[in-house]
Amino acid sequence: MTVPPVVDLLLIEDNPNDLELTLRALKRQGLADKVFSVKDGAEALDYIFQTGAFAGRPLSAPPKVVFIDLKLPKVTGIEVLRKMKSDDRTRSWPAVILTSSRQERDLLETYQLGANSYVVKPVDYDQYAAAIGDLGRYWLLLNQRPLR
Amino acid sequence: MDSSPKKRTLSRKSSRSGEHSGDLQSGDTGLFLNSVLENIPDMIFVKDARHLRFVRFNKAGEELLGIPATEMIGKNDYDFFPKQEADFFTRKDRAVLKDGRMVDIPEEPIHTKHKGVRYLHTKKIPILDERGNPQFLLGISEDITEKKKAAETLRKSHEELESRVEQRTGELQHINQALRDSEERYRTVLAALMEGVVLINAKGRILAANPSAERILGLSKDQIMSRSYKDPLWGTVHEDGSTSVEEFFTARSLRTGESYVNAVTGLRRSDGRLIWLMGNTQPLFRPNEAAPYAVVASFFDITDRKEMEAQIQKLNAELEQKVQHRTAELIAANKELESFSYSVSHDLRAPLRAIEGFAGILMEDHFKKLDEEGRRLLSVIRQNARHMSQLIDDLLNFARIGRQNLTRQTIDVLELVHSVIEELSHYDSQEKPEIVIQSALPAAPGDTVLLRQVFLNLLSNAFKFTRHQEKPRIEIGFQKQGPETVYYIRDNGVGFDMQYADKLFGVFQRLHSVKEFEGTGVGLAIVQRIIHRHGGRIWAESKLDGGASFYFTLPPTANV
Repeated sequence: MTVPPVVDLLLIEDNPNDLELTLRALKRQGLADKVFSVKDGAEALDYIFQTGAFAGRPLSAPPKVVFIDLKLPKVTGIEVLRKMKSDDRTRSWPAVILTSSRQERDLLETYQLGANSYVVKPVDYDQYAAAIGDLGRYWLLLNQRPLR
Repeated sequence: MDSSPKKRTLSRKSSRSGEHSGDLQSGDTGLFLNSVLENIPDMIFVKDARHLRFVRFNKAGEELLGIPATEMIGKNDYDFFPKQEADFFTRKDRAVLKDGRMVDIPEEPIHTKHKGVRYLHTKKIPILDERGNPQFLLGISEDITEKKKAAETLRKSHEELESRVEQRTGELQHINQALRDSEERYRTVLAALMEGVVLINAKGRILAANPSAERILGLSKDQIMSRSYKDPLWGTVHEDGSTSVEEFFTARSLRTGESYVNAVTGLRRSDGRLIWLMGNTQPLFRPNEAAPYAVVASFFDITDRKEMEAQIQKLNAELEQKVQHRTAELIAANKELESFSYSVSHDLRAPLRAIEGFAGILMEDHFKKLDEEGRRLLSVIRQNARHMSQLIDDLLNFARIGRQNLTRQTIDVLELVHSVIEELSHYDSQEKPEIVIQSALPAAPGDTVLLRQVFLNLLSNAFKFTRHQEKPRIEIGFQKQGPETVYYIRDNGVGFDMQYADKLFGVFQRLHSVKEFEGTGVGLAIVQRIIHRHGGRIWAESKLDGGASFYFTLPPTANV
């Protein structure tokens, strides 16, 4: 697994179609360079906590944002969020929930766990591209966050 | 014994003759007789036969009459006694002397000087000379006054006793009769009572039982009375399942001296049947005794009631179980539905997004390679993907409203309507319709979020279907129909044909083409579902091209 030297956006997405649409939207904004994507929750946790396949990952600055799809194989997005937000090393990492539908239950739970944003992926491609573009620009360019 | 000795004489000469002297010397005889005469407790007197004047009077006589012998001697009865008395004495004297035989006068009154009237038992004896002529009259009188008094007292007290006995006997007879009457009455009452009644003494022996007791207990009176209340044959069972005979309400009442009301106990009848009794006890006390000497227990058979109660309990338990079972089923179904809609919302949308997205990319990246028809076809694909996404959203929304809990509060309908209209005005770019709101719109009980959805759907429909009118007009108001408030939303839009009114509220039911008016056909289904969940009714009236009116009610106490 080749990890780019700097990862500004960690993208946790199991659906290759959604992944392609997301990357395309980011690329359009010129934000795709420092993106690293993992395809399930287990891989995400390995990356975040430098375990498993990512055991030797060089320590770099934390990502500026993590996009988390909720419905993931193996470990759910909620679980990834919980672990990330309950560990001192990763608690301050901004987490954006990107999911297919608005479920009151999911909204409540992710916000209680400390999610920083919750966005429903629009079906309309133009709207989808606009949403991802907005999110990328906001979190990668506009938002300020602590260094650790 | 008083046969008169005719030949007896009393003279100094004859007495001195010593005829009967026996051992005594003739000189001693006079002395002896004199001594006897003076010391005898009876009054003895001698009168001369001719003038009836006292010639001898002894000491006892002096004491009785209170007159010394010296005063008496030579005088007669008229000198000392009232005439009537003196006449009586004289008459008797004469009779004795005339007949020459003794007279016994069992009782005669005599006036005395100091002792008042005394009563005498007197014997009068004639004393004759040798020729048989009466010479003296000898009187011997015993004072029987005290004896007579005692006898009188005795007689009186006897009489009194007799009359008291008689009176007492009468009373007792009366009481006896009253008791018999009262007992008879109670016996009749007891026999007629539906309740069983038994009387139990302090030792636990059953002393009496009425016919109802026999019927309820299934035993003859003799059988009942042959058993102690503690007999294990009763097979006592209490409601908590314990069997202590000491806790039988009669036993308890005897032990504690308290009366019990509506005590319930089960008994095993000799035919094996368990019967339930409800009974009262009344302990009986004798004055100044702390412990009861007996207890009266009355009871009736509540077996039927008990059995019915048990039946009801059983049915209730079964029902409860059914409800629990059904609830569990419903919860499971609900969960299933929830996970289903969760799946739907995620898994159905992802491929739609891919279709729409990649069609979009195709359009973007390969626009120049596509001819007009190719682009049209791509846009049809994209449109349908978006439409299906909308259908999924609406369907999930509809499903959610069925599951969501209602939070009921009083809602300011007027304010709600204003806020919904304002929201709609932002989106709609059409010719602004004229909106008339009845200012007195009453408040309604309901869930704010859901009722907002009702007005939003109905009003957006009204906006939508008046879109092509020249002067669109929407009216929001209410009518009082009896106790009910009926809210309505009326428009002058395209309306619908009333023959399809029943399809109006169905899911995905549409009375207009998508081309004419966009929509998925879920809006009114959601409205109906919300109104029904509030316990209200909803209906519509319309004419094709004649506008539409939607009416609904929101009852104050709705079953949710």
